Amino acid sequence: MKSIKILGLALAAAAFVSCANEPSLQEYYVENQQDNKFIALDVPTSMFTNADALDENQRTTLESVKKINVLALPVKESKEEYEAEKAKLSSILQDEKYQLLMKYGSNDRKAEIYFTGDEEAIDEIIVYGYDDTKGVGVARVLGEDMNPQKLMELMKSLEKGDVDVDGLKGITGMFKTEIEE
Amino acid sequence: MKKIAIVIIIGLLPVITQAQSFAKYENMKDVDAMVMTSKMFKMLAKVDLSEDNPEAREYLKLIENLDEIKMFTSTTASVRNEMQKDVERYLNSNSLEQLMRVNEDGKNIRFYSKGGKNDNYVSELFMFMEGEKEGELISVILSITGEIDLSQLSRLTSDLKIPGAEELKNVENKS
Repeated sequence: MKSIKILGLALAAAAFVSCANEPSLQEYYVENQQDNKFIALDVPTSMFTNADALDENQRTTLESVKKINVLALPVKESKEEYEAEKAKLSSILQDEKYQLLMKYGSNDRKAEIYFTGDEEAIDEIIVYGYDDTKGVGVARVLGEDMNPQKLMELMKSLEKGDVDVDGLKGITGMFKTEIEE
Repeated sequence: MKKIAIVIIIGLLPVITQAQSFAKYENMKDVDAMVMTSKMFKMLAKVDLSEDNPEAREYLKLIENLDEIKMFTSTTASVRNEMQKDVERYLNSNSLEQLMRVNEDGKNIRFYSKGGKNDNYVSELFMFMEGEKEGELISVILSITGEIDLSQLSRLTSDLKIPGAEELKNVENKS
């Protein structure tokens, strides 16, 4: 646990240094992950799979995905806080570094998917969603130069094997269902 | 300087109003909005899992050349009225051709298109549907832009579960 916290702090420091003024999702995460009202999950992807079972190519691809973190605020905490956090997240995501892939929803429920970085070298995949009856949250898959094609190939070969990738699956499942048609 | 700015703005006005004519629905109350951007299509197109499947390759090619898909749905009377007015305005001020009209299951569906680089392509597919779904009155605006291959179009529209997609197959065969 401690090393994750230290890693988190180090990342935060790096983030503060690199993006001085614009509020970023990373800063938002760090600000709120200690707050009891939020549900925060921070999982390094090395926990998901048994790296020995992979070949070199696959290992490199897996290593490009660093971790997955999730931050959510249930609406039952307080409606006002829910609205406030929703507004904060919305405005952070307006920054041009967050590139919109898709959004779907209506007044009281919405899901949006963004990414940062370059289409072939993705740094972050972000899923932001809210439901007025449930809460608001953001999930991020963080990595370094993640290549969508290699990720899909990795997912495909991992499925054949007996490895647990449920975490990654949820996020990349979106790509898959679109393609598998 | 000011003069040039004004001229440029006036020149751009038609482009701006086009782009903006439906943008307001993206965040409007009582509207179900779906937007898929070109970045999404480029990314999907890159994930090429179809080496041995020529049909899937064709489909990927179609997706790669899509610009944007926007779909707005509403069952609220005031929004539906606004939609209808906006659609008429949009159709009147743009060179869209009516592709076909379908009346099925109490739904009135109209498809329009804007020409693309040649006869096999359209640069925009626009659909407006008004009708009844599960007892409620509903209106749907759909706009697909890009370099859309007509022969792949019906596949795309049935995947998106667009009402009237079946009928579009007939359009392909005509051209």
